Amino acid sequence: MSDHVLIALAKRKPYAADPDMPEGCSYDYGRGLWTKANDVLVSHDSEFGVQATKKCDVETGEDQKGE
Amino acid sequence: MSKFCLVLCGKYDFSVDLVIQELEKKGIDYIRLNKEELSDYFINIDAVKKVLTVRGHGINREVSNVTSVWFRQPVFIRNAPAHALGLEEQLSRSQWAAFLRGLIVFEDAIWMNWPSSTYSAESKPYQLMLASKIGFKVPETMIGNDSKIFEKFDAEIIVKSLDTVLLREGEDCLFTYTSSITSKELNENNTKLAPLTVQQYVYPKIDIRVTVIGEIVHAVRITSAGSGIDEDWRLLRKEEIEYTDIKLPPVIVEYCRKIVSEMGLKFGAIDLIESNGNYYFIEINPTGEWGWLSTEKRPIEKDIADMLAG
Repeated sequence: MSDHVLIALAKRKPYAADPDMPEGCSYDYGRGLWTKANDVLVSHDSEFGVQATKKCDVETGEDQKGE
Repeated sequence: MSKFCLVLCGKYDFSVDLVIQELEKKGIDYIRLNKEELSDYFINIDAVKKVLTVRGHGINREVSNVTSVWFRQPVFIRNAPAHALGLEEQLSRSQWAAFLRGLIVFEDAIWMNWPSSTYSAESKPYQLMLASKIGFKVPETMIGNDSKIFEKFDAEIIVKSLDTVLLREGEDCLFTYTSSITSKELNENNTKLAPLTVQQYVYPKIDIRVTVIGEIVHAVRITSAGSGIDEDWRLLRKEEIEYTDIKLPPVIVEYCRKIVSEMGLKFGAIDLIESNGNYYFIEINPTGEWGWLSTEKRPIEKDIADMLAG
């Protein structure tokens, strides 16, 4: 383990390539968005609301876009 | 000419879903391409004629009227993976990244944001220089790997990376948040390997997120139980954090608009700190997140869709 302060201060967690998605949802390629039971997954009045954007998020920093 | 928006993002980029719904409401034609699945499609550009063709997943389009591009992509490859990449993955990564950059042939479209503007805007030292030049207060900051220089700071300091630290080791990933430590904790052994950012610890502080879309400015105070959050607020649980709309002083609003426009951006997510009535510039993210801030009264996706609709 490096002694560098940026590594020493890092939070460690198991790696996940993809986020845990809510059960039963799928990606609609025609529309280009996620749906669940024919409703959009992420909207202000959906079951998951806009907080799905954080709930399912894999923390990669704002500027890395899951690189 | 009818309008067409090209959305370049990731499959799990959930904020995009909100904007897609707004584009649908507006009747704007669009295609969303996710970077994880580019090879699932047949995609071509005629660079001279400025024509894009896309086939796959039920899409079969030839588009010669790209009027806007929402570019939510990294502009450079950062971290080497913790495992060797196969030949195909190496080739796919490098060539698709170049292909996406090549979409700047649609130079007449509205770009949110133009890739070379994002590239320079990602530089933290450049951000600080420009912010100060514009008129923002900037916390005293030193960037480098010489711990002797960091000794000039008072006891408590902020330590953060120059670029996102997202590392892989075995089955784990490591992510480094902004941290406060004492300057005495820094020495040659724990700084020389790589440069870092050391900043004056501004206290007390209240974090402010300013989302700028063109001339539109949304400012939100980030608190927990009504108070400022001493540590990196991203470390708190979502339900512990409050986002409250605030009205910034007009001069700060103008500084926010100006840094976005001077950087050649259409969108920027700016982090400020308010301390004892002073506003300090911390950083700007040209592809910053905002989905978690959106409400029906603060509909950021509508503002983005309006911009993309031209």
